[in-house]
Amino acid sequence: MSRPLEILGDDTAPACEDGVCEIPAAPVNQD
Amino acid sequence: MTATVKVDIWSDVACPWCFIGKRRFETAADEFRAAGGEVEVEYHSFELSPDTPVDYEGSHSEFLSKHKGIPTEHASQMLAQMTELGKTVGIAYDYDALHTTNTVRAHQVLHLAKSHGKQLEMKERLLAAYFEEGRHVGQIDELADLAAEVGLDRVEVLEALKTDRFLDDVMADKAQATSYGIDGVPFFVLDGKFGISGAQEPATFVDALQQAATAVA
Repeated sequence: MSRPLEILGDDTAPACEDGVCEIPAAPVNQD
Repeated sequence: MTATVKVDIWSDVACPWCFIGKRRFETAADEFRAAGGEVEVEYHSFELSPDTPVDYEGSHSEFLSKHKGIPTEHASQMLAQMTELGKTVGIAYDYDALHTTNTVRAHQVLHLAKSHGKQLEMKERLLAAYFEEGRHVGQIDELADLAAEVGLDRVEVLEALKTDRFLDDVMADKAQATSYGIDGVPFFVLDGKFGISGAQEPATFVDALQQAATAVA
């Protein structure tokens, strides 16, 4: 087991997991 | 600042957030270097969907629909959304042309490329080929062609893929990811101490690089 990592950054940043990627439902760059 | 930060990145080729995260991280790394820092990057294998067949029959919308349990139309809307997000960092996602496939061979090519000091070029080539150019990154011949484009020996690539020469390296990366508790990608490990999950904004990466550079060993 590796030593635990100190987690930095925004824990809501988008990522992909188990073949599925978080994709926002709402359009971006809206007026 | 003269510190060198080693950044190990777990990533899959078939991962749109990994491509966007790569762009955002590169922006941050450029800023960090401009301030006098150094960054050394190494990519590691992570298979998001290891059960995907090499020749998946169906559109990527259908693939996503089955994985998420949502209507195909909804999946298509999500891919359109990701396409718009890609444009914000200069990526031209083309999901109509994309060949959904298994990525374990592509990961083996990345390990072979690393052994020749060409991993970063290979990673970029594979992501662009898969997401922007409709290339089939699960087929051996196609992978050999792409590897040759970054200066690798096509015959060596074919031999390595036919014998699974780098499969153990792929599995070792996956085991290391499990050891770190990584269950999603992209995931960035800085100097083996700090972890950052997801396609963070460049400013967040810059802060993390600065923190790693000044951390007491």
